[in-house]
Amino acid sequence: MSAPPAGRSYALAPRVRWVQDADRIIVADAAGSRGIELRGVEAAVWSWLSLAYPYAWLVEHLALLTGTPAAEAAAHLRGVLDGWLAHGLLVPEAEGEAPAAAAPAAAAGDG
Amino acid sequence: MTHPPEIFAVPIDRAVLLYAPLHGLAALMNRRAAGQLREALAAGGGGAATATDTFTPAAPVAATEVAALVAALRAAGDDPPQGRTGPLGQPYFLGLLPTRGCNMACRYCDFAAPKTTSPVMSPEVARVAIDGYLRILDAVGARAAEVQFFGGEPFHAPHVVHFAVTYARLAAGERGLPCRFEVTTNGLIGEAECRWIADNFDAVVLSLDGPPDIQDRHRPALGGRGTSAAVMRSAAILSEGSCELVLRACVSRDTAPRLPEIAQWFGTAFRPGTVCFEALQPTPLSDAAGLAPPDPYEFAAGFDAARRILAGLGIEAVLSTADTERRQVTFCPVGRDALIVSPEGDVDACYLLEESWRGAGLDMRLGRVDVARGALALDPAAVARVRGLNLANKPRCRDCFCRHHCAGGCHVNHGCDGAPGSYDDLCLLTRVASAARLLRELGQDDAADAWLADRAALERTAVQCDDRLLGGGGPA
Repeated sequence: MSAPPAGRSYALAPRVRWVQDADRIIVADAAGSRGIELRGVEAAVWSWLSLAYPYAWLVEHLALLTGTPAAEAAAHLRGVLDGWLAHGLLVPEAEGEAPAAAAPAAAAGDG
Repeated sequence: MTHPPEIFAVPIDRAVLLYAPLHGLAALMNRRAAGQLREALAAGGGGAATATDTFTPAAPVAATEVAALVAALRAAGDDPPQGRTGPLGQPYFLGLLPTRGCNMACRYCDFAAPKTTSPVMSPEVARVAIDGYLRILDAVGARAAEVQFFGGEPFHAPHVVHFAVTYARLAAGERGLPCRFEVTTNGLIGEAECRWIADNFDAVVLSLDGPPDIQDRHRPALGGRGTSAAVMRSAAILSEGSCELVLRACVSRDTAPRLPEIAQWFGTAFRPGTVCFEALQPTPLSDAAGLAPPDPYEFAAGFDAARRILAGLGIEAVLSTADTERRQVTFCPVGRDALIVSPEGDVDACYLLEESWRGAGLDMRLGRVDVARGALALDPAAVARVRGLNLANKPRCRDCFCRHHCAGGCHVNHGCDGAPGSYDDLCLLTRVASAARLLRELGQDDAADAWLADRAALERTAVQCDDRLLGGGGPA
């Protein structure tokens, strides 16, 4: 499965669990049968996905994070997301659909 | 010029609390013993008590104990803390202000920034600031980095925080530096955001003034609705997370009598590592809302009680000006080379609004984030100027026994230009709370309880202008 075009968003698969441990993120499916360790750029992308940032935001900020042109960042991101999609750690959001995870704080904070 | 030794004596009802912070010494004694101690020290001489020293202190302090105190105080104490000098070394921390905007309308807020239209820091500014800070750490051989977030409410611009934390962690990691993250927040944030914070921050200072009736009255959201439910949810999430939770409560005249209740609630409803209590400072908003600063004596006594309750639960209680374990020449990051970046990219020594510190006649500007050049542009002369904002230039504090831990309080909001001993309410509550802490640490609980219950005795302690045992002041 190739990464969808820009504009789509991704959600972390419902059965996935993860934990931030110092400078790494450990991701496992709910059954605990598969786990991966993410560091560096991949950990950053996962962290941002957990906050429901859309694909375009991820590209823009990945470029800034790595100091690379947007096209290069987009290619890097596609590779990372393709891998996670293949492992069932991500599910694509339908175009135009709001992200499934909690929105960033500006839209939340209900009393 | 010879400075009088840093030995202080304050009245505690009919007794005297001797306090020599640079000697690491405190003692409670009767007035006779204090007088004889003063005479012996004023007579000079070194080392142990001499044959001409005669101590007849009467019970409960024995002559041998006075002699031991004389010997200890005649020895040189530690050097007083000094301000930073020389080239810029390791900054105290990098502070980032994602925005001055906020989603709450606290009734005592003294931030004049617009709530919803304040500028927001760009990710580029954050990145250049972090890069510049890490280069400074490289240059001085630092072993760790620290980034703190302030506002307004930093999570009113959450994307800035999310980017800055991930970038700082990545960039510091490439240099082999662990990076500590701390944030001060109002806690009015979504659940997912709060869990992210709990996972990604080392410490969270959460503003929560007390149980729901207090929180909702003091700290409503924009539009006036209550915030207690959401903020309590945040406190619960942070309690269970891996970060250290610090609860920060602003205390008013109405809530000071409830300090023990508030402390008990904090300690049982949540799991903070520390609870900070601060006295409300009057603002136009607080006046309009009918919120008044606490009576200093009621606050100090309540803080003492709160501290004891929280200690029983394994939680530290802090009043920032009365932390007697500190030795400092400046109360806050100002003067410690903290680099605090505003949303506009200015680098300042203080996180308060520029109009606040300029209005106080201070210039906290250290430089600027130069995005075009990808560097921090800092003015060494400005760094030196700000370092001069320290205890040495606070005449009000000259003879106060709290000088080495309070250091005069906030440079912007608590002027110390008055005559020595011209104490205001913040000084009074600091002095009483500090003395209470020292008494508790000496195991003098009965004396502390009796004194704290006697307002006249508290006032005698608090208003004494010159605490120096050898400075002409002190108890008769």
